[in-house]
Amino acid sequence: MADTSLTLALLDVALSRGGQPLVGGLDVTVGGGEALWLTGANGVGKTTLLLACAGLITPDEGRIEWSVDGALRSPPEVASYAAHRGPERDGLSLGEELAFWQRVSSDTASLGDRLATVGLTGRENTPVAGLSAGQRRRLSLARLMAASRPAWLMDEPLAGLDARGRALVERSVAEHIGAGGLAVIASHHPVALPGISARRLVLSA
Amino acid sequence: MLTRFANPQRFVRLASWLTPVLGISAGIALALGIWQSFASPPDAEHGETVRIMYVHVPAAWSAMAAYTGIAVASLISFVWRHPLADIGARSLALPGAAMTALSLITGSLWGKADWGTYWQWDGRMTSVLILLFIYIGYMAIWQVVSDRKRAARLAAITAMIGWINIPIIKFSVDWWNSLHQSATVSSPGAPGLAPEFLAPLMTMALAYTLLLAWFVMRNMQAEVAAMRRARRPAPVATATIEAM
Amino acid sequence: MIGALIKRELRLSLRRGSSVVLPLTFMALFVLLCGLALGGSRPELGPGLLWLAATLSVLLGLERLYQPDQASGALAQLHLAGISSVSIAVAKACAFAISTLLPLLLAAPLLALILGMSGGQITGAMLSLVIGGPALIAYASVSAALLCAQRGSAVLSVLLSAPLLIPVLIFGVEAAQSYPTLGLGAVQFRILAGLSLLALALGGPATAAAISANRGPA
Repeated sequence: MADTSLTLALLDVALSRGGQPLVGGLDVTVGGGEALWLTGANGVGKTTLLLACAGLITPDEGRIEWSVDGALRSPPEVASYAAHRGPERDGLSLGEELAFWQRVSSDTASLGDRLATVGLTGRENTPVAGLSAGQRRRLSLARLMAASRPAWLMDEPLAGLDARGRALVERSVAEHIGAGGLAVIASHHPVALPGISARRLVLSA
Repeated sequence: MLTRFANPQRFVRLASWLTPVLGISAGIALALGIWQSFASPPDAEHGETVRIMYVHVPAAWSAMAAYTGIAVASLISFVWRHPLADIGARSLALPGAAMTALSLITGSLWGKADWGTYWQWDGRMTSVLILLFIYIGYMAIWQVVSDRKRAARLAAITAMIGWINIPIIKFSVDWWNSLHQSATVSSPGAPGLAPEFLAPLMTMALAYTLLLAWFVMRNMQAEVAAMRRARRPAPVATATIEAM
Repeated sequence: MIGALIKRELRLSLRRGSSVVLPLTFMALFVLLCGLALGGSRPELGPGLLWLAATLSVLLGLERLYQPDQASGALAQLHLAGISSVSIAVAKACAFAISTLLPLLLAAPLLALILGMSGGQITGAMLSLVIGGPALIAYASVSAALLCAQRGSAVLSVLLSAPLLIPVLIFGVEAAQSYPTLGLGAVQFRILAGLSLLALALGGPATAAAISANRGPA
């Protein structure tokens, strides 16, 4: 699925939010088979950095480059992003929501399989409005898997999850990276990824 | 020429001497135009009210010219993302809207004096009123969108679509008017005008153009200066990388 | 892909219910109020009132077109999934036409009867609404997409789209009125069709550009 020659390079990146400068001089390279854990206090710029990696905002200075085998790629080609609050819309059921995103990313797995993987079997008909925070995180994980991009950008993937949910996320991320993928994870909780080469990027004021 | 003046540094140097020149010449032209307006003889058909024309017609012209300027600057801003182009487009909006309002007010005063009615549903008058709404919408976009870059792009899209639609609106209202309005009124147009009316009209048109240019230059100068003053404060956070 | 998007949109608007029923109720109420205010059945004003009612009901639904998907981040996710802004614009416009314009079209003949319009007038009004409808939808989507990241901007999006809709309104009404005597061959119908095509040609790229410009957090 993923390519080990995948690289995310942040070259002297400066970011701001709403005109307020957050962080500057970011220089880091992450390759396939690696994880980068972003930590730091609230409001220091973790989400902004993820958004910039996803190409949803442009850095004030510097460049963010994705490449595969040395060839530059656009973020949508290689990355998928699990936001802190997902794109799910009240009014749809869990099954309809996930099936839509599977269809959009041409996912080959069945809806039942995806639900089973994230421990939501039998919940197809639960309305999105009735999902708990933890169930939304599981849905988010299923969406990441369905998108089948080599890079995962995750914003607080452990928030609201129970112990089994956390284990599920950590196992899934570890498997993804083990298969040559890459993950950038903003999280207040430590993400245990046994056997995975991981670095921690601390943003501090 | 575009790229030469798109550079803010060059623009500041240009503006530092051009702005006062424009301001002074606008003042002179305006004074001359007003004097000419009153010195010119009353018209045979319209009488003394012809003097409203010297305020009204150039206002309508410059309202259209300003909007065209906005559309062109928007295109430049949209395609080449020149920050100066969107400052220029934005600076034209307020004086353009003021000119539009002025031409509507003077137009309806003239209409009352000449035709006995403040409002005529003819293509020209109606489309100028619609132009005013388009101006207001354009300025509102700048108002409500807080992110500057995003506001510039959204305002540019609005301005370009509006510009393409103005002739269509004019055509539609003309068509509509030809079906619903039996009595069409004639207003003196510039081409066939006698020289004694043409002279003040042209001086006033020149004065309005200079005034518009002066206003825009001054506004752009202020915005560029504000942009330079607003030096980005240093980022507050630093990043350290630790192996785990 | 566009099919999946349309299906999702339709599902959402059907679930909400109000997005189909409310414009319909609004249109009926508007015609009723006009009838009362203007002194009963006024068949000669019929096409104009139906056009006004349809335009206003479409504008009423503008805020629901892009804002929820912008706020939930779905537009950004669609971009990351490789769906182009143009596809999004086309799908949303199709779904909007089906969920808003189609019910209005179906209700129009009944409302026309309230206004005392004759068979020929009703057919003319329906045909003009069908031919001019794409222009309504196209300009409505532009202003909805322009302001999708702004909360409480309903009035402004009406202000932005209304000037663009004036030619459509004029020729829509003119076409409807000329139908009983001139039929579909009336030049007004041709101009109306031209306006619709132009609106689609302008509105599609403009909506897509607005979606792209609004990407990311404000």
